[in-house]
Parts: sequence; structure tokens; C-alpha cells
Amino acid sequence: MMIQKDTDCDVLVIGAGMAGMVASARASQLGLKTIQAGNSSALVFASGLFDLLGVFPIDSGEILSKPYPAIKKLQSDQPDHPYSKANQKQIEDSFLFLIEFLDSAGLKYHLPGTCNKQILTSVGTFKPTYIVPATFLKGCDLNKVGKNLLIVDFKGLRGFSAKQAASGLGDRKEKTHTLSIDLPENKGGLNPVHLAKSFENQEFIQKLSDKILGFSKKADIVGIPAICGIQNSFEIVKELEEKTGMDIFEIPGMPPSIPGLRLKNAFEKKISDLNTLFLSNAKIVFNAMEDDNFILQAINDNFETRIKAKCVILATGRFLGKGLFAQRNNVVETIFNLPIFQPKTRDQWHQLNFFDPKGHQINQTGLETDDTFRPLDQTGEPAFENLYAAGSILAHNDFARLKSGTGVCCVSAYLAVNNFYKKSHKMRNK
Amino acid sequence: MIIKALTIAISLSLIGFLYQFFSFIKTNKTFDKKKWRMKNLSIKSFSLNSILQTKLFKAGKIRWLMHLLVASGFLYLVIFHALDDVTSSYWFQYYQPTVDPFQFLRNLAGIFVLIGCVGFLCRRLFFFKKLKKRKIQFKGLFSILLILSIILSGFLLEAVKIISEPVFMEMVEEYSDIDEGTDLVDLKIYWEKNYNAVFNEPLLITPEKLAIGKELNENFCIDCHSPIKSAFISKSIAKALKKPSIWLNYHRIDNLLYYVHYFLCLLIIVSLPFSRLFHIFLIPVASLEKNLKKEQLDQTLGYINTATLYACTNCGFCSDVCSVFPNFLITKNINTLPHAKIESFKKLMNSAPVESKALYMLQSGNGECTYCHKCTDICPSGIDLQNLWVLLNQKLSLKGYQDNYTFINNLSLEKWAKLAPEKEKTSSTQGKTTQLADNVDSFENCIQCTICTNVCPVVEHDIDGNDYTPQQVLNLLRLGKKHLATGTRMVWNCLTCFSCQESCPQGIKVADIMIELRNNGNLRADALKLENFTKAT
Amino acid sequence: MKFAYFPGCKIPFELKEYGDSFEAIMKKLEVRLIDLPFNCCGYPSKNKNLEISVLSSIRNLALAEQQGLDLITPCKCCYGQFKHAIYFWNNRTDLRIKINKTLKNEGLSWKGETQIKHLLSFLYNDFGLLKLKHKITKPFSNEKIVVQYGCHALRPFSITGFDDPFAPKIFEALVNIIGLKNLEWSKSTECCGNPIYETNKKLSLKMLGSKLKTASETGAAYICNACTHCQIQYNFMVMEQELKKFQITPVLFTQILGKAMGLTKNELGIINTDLFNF
Repeated sequence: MMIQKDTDCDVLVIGAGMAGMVASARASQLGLKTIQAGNSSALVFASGLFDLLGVFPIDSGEILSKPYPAIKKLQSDQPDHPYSKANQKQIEDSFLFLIEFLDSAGLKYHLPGTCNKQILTSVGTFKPTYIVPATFLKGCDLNKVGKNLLIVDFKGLRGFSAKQAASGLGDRKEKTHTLSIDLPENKGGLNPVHLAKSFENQEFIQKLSDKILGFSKKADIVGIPAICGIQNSFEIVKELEEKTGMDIFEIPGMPPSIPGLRLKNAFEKKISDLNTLFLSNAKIVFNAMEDDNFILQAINDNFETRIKAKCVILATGRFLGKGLFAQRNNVVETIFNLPIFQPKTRDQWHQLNFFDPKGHQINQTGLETDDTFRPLDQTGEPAFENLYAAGSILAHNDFARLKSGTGVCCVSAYLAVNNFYKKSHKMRNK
Repeated sequence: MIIKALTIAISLSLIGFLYQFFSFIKTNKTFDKKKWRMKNLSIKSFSLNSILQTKLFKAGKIRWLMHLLVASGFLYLVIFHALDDVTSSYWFQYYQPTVDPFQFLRNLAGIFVLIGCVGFLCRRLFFFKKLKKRKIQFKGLFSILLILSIILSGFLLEAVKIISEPVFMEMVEEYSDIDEGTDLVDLKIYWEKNYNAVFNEPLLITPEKLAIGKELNENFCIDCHSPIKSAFISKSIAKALKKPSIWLNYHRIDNLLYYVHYFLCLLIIVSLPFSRLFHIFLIPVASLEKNLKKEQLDQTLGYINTATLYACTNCGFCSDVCSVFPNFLITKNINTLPHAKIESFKKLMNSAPVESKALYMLQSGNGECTYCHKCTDICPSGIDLQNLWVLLNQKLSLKGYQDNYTFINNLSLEKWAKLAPEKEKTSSTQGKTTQLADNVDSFENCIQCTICTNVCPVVEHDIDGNDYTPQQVLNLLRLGKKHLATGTRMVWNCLTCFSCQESCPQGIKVADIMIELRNNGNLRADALKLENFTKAT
Repeated sequence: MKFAYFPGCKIPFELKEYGDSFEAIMKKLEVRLIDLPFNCCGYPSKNKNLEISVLSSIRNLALAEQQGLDLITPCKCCYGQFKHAIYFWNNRTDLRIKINKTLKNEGLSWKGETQIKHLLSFLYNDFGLLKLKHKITKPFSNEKIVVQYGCHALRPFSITGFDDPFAPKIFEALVNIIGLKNLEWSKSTECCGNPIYETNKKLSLKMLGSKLKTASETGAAYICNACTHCQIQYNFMVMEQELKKFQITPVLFTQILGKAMGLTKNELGIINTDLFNF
């Protein structure tokens, strides 16, 4: 017999990716009784970088150095884009909230200014981003940094080659060295998480520092794969800096990504501390409305939780996260069966050229919302009074090409919760 | 002649004792490891269990009572009745078998033993169904029946003696100076009335004759013959034998019964070292050793006191409480249960050739043991059963019967792959596995993101032994190489900690699949072993 | 409150003190424990034969249901196993039919009413932290401790529903109530290594070593366990030269709770009198 538990809450957050976590964090912080259902492992794919807007317009391929002016243009050109439902202050507030929340969980991020940063990646490309983890900071805009550089890799760590990363810098006036560290006790492949755990071992740090010290005369700054410990990464990097006397920064690599894991851990811990109930891997089924409340069931293998929620934040993601499901000829939303903005026919989903500068229409599909982030029904009105949508499920946001992923997640989730809170408490926005 | 017979019987018995003793010692050497330490002897448990049967009391009060009746009764009879020439006559001046309290006590002891034995037999009858379920056979029937027949022949003997005229006449000749005449008749009359004697000629009973008879009785008989009512059983039997009494007396059945009774006692002496009754000596031996504590297990590794194996009385209490009874219900392998294991262990120690298949079943059954100690706690004989199961594992392992982990670990992956079953019959594994690995839906969503590998503590720590990581095992399934997957180190070292399953972004049941692959590996290994060992026989 | 007491196979012989202290604290909390002729929970058979492991658990549940009692166990492996068995019994019709038939032969059946509880989830959810706090008469004075969560109760959440699998807090909350200070420990939710001790001792002890090292580095004086297998595993540290050196003592939750409730060391089965300065 399935065990049934009954519970109620103010906010049910469906989804435990970036948007879900921000929503959950904000709701708990505001003192709303929150339940969250989902699988938080998607965060392990995140690089740890928070994009705001990196490229606009898409077909120009132009990498932006100042995101906010571009956002203003985006808002006037594309009033359907999620950013158009927020003003600059709200965008800034949402990021500030995110950074402070993570800081209170022990994960330091750098407070943004007005410019994007260029980050060297493990494959030697440069990626524009807005907010970086504190451990990445010294490696921002390397092409402008006039220092001798050493890039380190670990033999067996897949997806990270110091030489390949260095190749992105091309010919420089300053020298670029590479060092491949061989850990003889590790036969076979190195797994990033296990390697990251070694950094919590003092002897390992000492050995590593000694190896890097060999380059102390040749380089002033060192780039190391982003695997410097899972917890306390900032302190570990500082310790390496003290031992080597050089500046050190982390370089993001392929998933599984340790900065992503750091985000996951930080969110989970802090949200748990704020007494949010987390239903890992629960499948949500919407039953009905009861007065103004949502009646849903969170189904786990061995038990069910019947939830009565005043507000639901739908942050279920796209196809990988199973918020959207692609059938043969159309895309559907999996929980409330909300109408999805999508191309009229299947053959319009993709361009023939994968790298078409315009991108593909399928990546613009998703939920359309009103100004307060409530998804719309067929008539164009909010489908439910207190149903909000946030994150990558939103339409008109080709985040891979715009480089706007985290930004949309953070802004939409933060504001959705705020909007509900304002409405329910009739309080003025801060 | 009787003394000669007794001497022969005792000699044979002693030879039997020695034979058993040496066979126990001989089998002790099989392990040839560390010596036993004297400090593990417990006089307290020895005396409590040997004298009061405290463990049996804890296990079952009624059985303890029945056993107490048999034991105390029989002990009394052996000491005060069978050996009365050297015991009772020696200790008590006035001793005669027919004198109270001995006459009464003998009857009482006899009835105790009778009730106890009947109790044992009844239990077998009433619990027949339950015992049959656990396949507990009835051994020791010979001993119980032997004891019963001794008691019954004893009562019959006494009864026949009571009614016997020839015996009466013998007694009169030897112990009185009564000749043929009225005195004799008077005595006879008195004895017919008061001692249930039966005489050929009809006797006319008058009060005067009775009075004379009584006086004569007091002169010559009463010192050795207490009133018959104390022989409460025999006297009732004597009454029932009144009808055939003439025939019985004529043929001197009393003599016949005497020889029968005596012979049965000799039989019990001779068979003592070889029958269930040997437990009288073996249980004290087994109770002498304290049951091993966990810390001591490696100290006595290899040592086995074979005598303790034979202290088993097949009472079945151990299997009654066995924690892995459900395992037996499914596998139907009787060697899962302690009472069968100990029998098999005896066969093993005898160095008699045992069928390979039987040994395999023994190893398989013993492998289910969870070492919960319940059988050892309850064993009324005081045998350290749990120690036996540990040693059994080792002994079987030395003989080449190993658990599946060792079996598969010793094979290279290539060799294991070649041992794949020709056609995977899902019906043979159905019910025994979660059936995830056969179902493509379970693993087709795997995107090979390696998160499972990264959170796996086995992968983190096992840098030497690692062959395939969790996501690689899943990939083997996607490639249709399920059988190969069942032989990987990963599957057998998996802690089933479920970190992988909890973290999988696609909701794949990684750990459940690992467990199922191990399941499949076990089933395949068992099938292979069964094939091999059945061929070898 | 009344429960059928399920100690599991390991407590009587290998960790008697856990059973003793568990019974002692339950008595103090006025929870009656009833002994029934249980069999093994089926956890060791899980990877040999699914039928056996599910039958084992369901048979125990049936025995308890006969008396109208829920089961309580101090062992997390048993708890997890029961939960898994319940899941398979619910979802595999073929298994359910076979098990019901086997049980019927003994006059037993399980209708799904009796449930299994673990010591910690019982205290946290059913007994209540507030009520428990009132029973603490001799709280500790903020000694530092780390907790070993134990995998089989914590994961998979979908089966056990025991606590948040990534950021659990039941154990910490209970330990804090007793007056101890729970420290952050990176390996709190990682497996202790006991499941492979019999088959791969080297790896098992290597994992144990890693746990002991990181735990002692937090500065904690104790590691708290609420699972038979975890405690047995940690107790191995006294037998291994490499592990003895770590300055940290594994303790059972029942023992620290018992001490805080004013029970004596005899009642709690503590032989080492240095522990908690008894």
C-alpha cells in the first residue's frame, strides 16, 4: 500500500535546476512555507558562470562587452523576451540576491560591475559571462592581462588539456607555459569529483604547490582546472596562492563540473536550513483546483505526498529536464498541459545548417507569460491566478546563442516569487 | 553367566567409548591450527547445563519437564536399582528391593521415565506437520523405545513376580522355617489377600487363618517385604495378570522376563557410545566450552571439538528459531537450516567420501547464515553452533567450494564472458531479480554524463581493482552485453549506497541495476557450479 | 506507545550494546517493545535472490501485523531493506502472489497496514523533538560531534522517504537537542564501507580510513552512528594499526541519548568507562 502523506504550503516549486533553486531560495528567505520537488543534478552540468547577455543580436554574432545597453535594445526589439518583464534594477537585485544567498552558504561569487568578462575555457575558446565564482576572478579577460601565464592540467582528467586551453590565447607578448601533472597513484581515468576531493588533503596541496613552484620564475599567474575542492574552494585556492606565491584562477571545463556541484551543494544546504521540504525525484501530477489552491500529488516510488499549494512555480526546464516533451509533431508542457509557443509544423523546428547564425526555432519554444511571469492559456490570459513559470521553459529565449541562460533563470524565478509575495501580502517592492 | 554377560557388555561399551573418543581426536587434526585455551572453559555453564539442563529449560519448559522426568527416573533406577548390589545394599543396612521406600521409589522412577518417554513420542505426533515443514527427522527412536521397553519389562517383571507361586515357594524355603502344613496355607492366604500372589489351589479365607498368616508374615517376611500398595504400578499390572497367572507361573515367565529385562539393560550399555544416549556424556563436554564471543572468533580458527557435533540430539530447536527460515522456504535447500547442517558436518568430518553436489548444497546453504547466534543461544546441548558454521565455511572453501564473489573474482572477465548461458531464459530468473537489466526502458535514457561514476565511493577509493565504472556498466547494457556486465568488479564491489541512483539526472535506477546484475551473476554462478558438481559425482 | 522490536541479525552477537541501550532508552521514553520470533530482514539475500529478500521482510511484517503492531528497528540497513521489500511487494504482482501463498501456508498474511520505523525517524516525526527535550535531564556541554547518516535509510529517497537525501537534518537536530555540537563534515552522507567488508576487506577499510581521517580533521571528538552496520564498521578501527591513530571515538546515538536522559553505563551496555566520563 502506498503511504500517503498530506501537506500544504504557500509555494510549491517544481524543478530543482537553476531557476527552481533560485525560486526556492527566495521563497524560503521571504518566510513562505516552501516545498520543492525535482532532481537537482542538472546543476552539475552548469559551468558555474552566470551569464546575463553575451551575444545580441543572435545573427550578428557580436560578443557584448556591456550587457545592459544591449538588454534595453532587446526589450524594445523583443517584447516577448523574459527580460522585457523586468527593469534593470530588478535584474540587478535578482543577481544580488543570488550572490548573497550563495555567500551565506559559503560559496563566494564576484559582485558584478557593468561589463561582461571573457573567460578562457578548457577547449581554448573565450566565453563572455557576467558573474564569475571568486576563484575564477583572476583569470578574467586574460587577453588583456599582461602577465606570464602557466596553465596546469592533470594527466587522465578528461576534457581538459592545458595545451588546448593555451592555444586559445594565440601569440602573446607574454609567455604562456603549460604543465601536465601526473598523479602516479591514479591509473586509468581521473574523475573530476574524486580529484576535487583530493584537494581537501593537505599533503596533496603541498605536492601540487611544489610542482607549480617549479615555474615560479617563469610565470606570475596560474590557471588550473576548476577542481580545487568541492567545499571551501576559495580557501583552497588562497592556500595554493600562499604556498606558490603566484595568483591562481580556475578554468571551467566539461561536465561533470565542480563549480556546478558547488552550486548544487550550496543551494541544497541553505534551502534545507531554511526548512524547505525537498522531495527528491518526485513526479508531480496536477489534480485539480480547490478554491484558490492547487491540489497536486508528488509521487515517489514508495510513497505519495498530497500537496495543497497556494502558488506553484513551474521551473521544470526544457527537454532534458522534462518540462517540455517533444512529440512527433508538436511540443507539450508536461504538468499543466499549457499551450506552448512553437513553430507551426515540425519541419520548421530546425534550419538545415546546424550553425545557422539565426539559430533554430525549436530553441525559441516554451511558455509565454504575462508581465508577472504567469504562463498564458489559449486566450492569452494567465492560465491560473497563482501559477508562475521561470527558467529555461520560457519562450523566446535561445539562451545558448544569447548567452542568457542563468540570467533568465535567476531573474524570472526571483521576480515570479516576488510577484506572488507582493500580491499575497500587498507589500511594496523594496 | 550373568556376570560374564555383564562383563562382556561393559567391555564392549568401553571399547565403543574408546573408539568414539579416538575418532573424535583423529578428526580434530584436520585443521591443524591454533590450540585451545584453557581459560575458555566454563565450569558454571557446564554444571548448570549438565545437571539442571538450564538451556533446555529456556528453550521449552514442557520438554524440559519431560526430559527431567526421564533423566531423574532413569538415573535413580541405574544407581539405586540396577547397581543396588554395590550402592543401596552398601549404603542402607535394611535395603531390599521390595522394601519401602525403595519399592515405592522404583515404581515412581519407572512411571516418571514412562511419562517422559511417552511425552517425547507425543510431541513428535502433535508437531508432525511443523517438523515436516522444516524436514526435521526423528532420530533417537531406537533409544526411546529401548528405554521404554526396559521400563515396561521391569514393571512386567515385578508384576509377574508378585503373582508368582514358584517364587513364593522359593522364598518360603529360603527365608522361613515353615514346612508344608497349615502355616504355609495361612501364609499363602495372607499373601493372596495382601500381596496379590496367585496360587494354584483355591484357598479358603477365614479371619483366623488371616490372623495367623499375618503373624507369620511379621516373623519371616515383613522385614524384606513392605506392603504391596507402594508398588503402585506393578501391583495394578499384577491384578490384571490374574487371569493368565497360572499359565505364566507354570512356564516361569518371571525368569524369562528377568533375562529379557537384563538383556535389554546390557543392550543399552553396549549401544550407549553409538546411540543418541551418548549425549549424556557429550552434552557436558559441549557445555564445558563457553560459546565464542565475536572477539575470539579468530583465536580458535580451525579448531573443532568433534565431540560437540555428536552432542546434537536432533531436538530441532535451532531450526525453529533460525533467522534464514524464509531462505529455506524459497530455495528448499535443507542445508540452510542448522539441524541439517550439523548432520552434514558430521558426514564431512568422517572423511567418508561425500557427493560433490551435496557439498555444494551445503556450502550454498551455509552461505545464507547471517551469524545471528539464535541457534547457538537456544541449543540445549550447549554446542557452539555459530563457531561450527564459520569453520564449515573455511573447510568447504579449502575443498574448493567457495562463495560466488570469490568464484567470479578468480575468473578473468574474458573467461566469465565465455561462460554465458546459451539462451537467456528469462523464465528461469523471473521473480529472482528486479528485471531492470533486461528492460531497455530502464537504461536507454542514459546520457553517459558520468555523474554516477563521480559520486561513487568505490570508484573513488578502489584505484587498483576498478575495471568498469558505473556509467560504463550501463553502457555495456546499452551494447547488449549484459552477461559481461555481471562479471565486472564494479558490480561485485558495489556498496549499494544508492548515491548514483539519487544523483542521476535522468532518473535511471543505477544502483538497482547493479544489484540486479549481481543477482544475475549469482544465479549464473550457481547454475555453473551445480553443473560442474553434478558432473563430478 | 507499543512497537514490535526488530533488532536485526547483527545486534545479538556483534553489537549487543546497541540492543541494550536501545531497549533502555525506549523504556525511559515509555515506549513498550514487544519481542516476536522474527527472521532476518532479507538484506543479505538481496543480491542473491529478490524473492528471498522480499519474503523475509514481508514475513516479519506479517508477524507484527498479527499482533497489531508496527515495527521499530535501530538498524538502518534493515529499515532500508523493509522499505525496498514493501516497494517490490506493491509493484510486482508475480512476487506478491508467490509470497502471499508462501505465507498463507503458515497462516500468515500482510495486508499492508503494519509499517516499519527507524529509531531516528520515530523520534523526530512521531515522538517529537519538544517532548524529547523534556526528557533530557543531563545534557552534554557542547562537545563536538559529527554524524554518520548511513546510506540505506537515506537513499534512495523515493523508497525510504527518510530525510532530505542531499542535505539531511534529522540526525543533527536530534544530536543538537542532546546538547552536543554537530559539525559540518564533508563525508557525513557517504557510505561507511561495511557492505563489502566480508568480500573486499582492503577496500572497505580504505574507505573507513578516509572517513576517519576527514572526521577527525573537523575537530570532532565523536562520530555518532544510528545503524548497527555503521557502528560495527567503525569499531574495526581499534583492530587496525593504521586506523587506531585517529583521535575520534565512534559512539551510538542510543548511548549518548541514554546518558543525556540520566541512564547508567550498565543500562547502556558501555564497557569502556572512559566514554563520556561515566
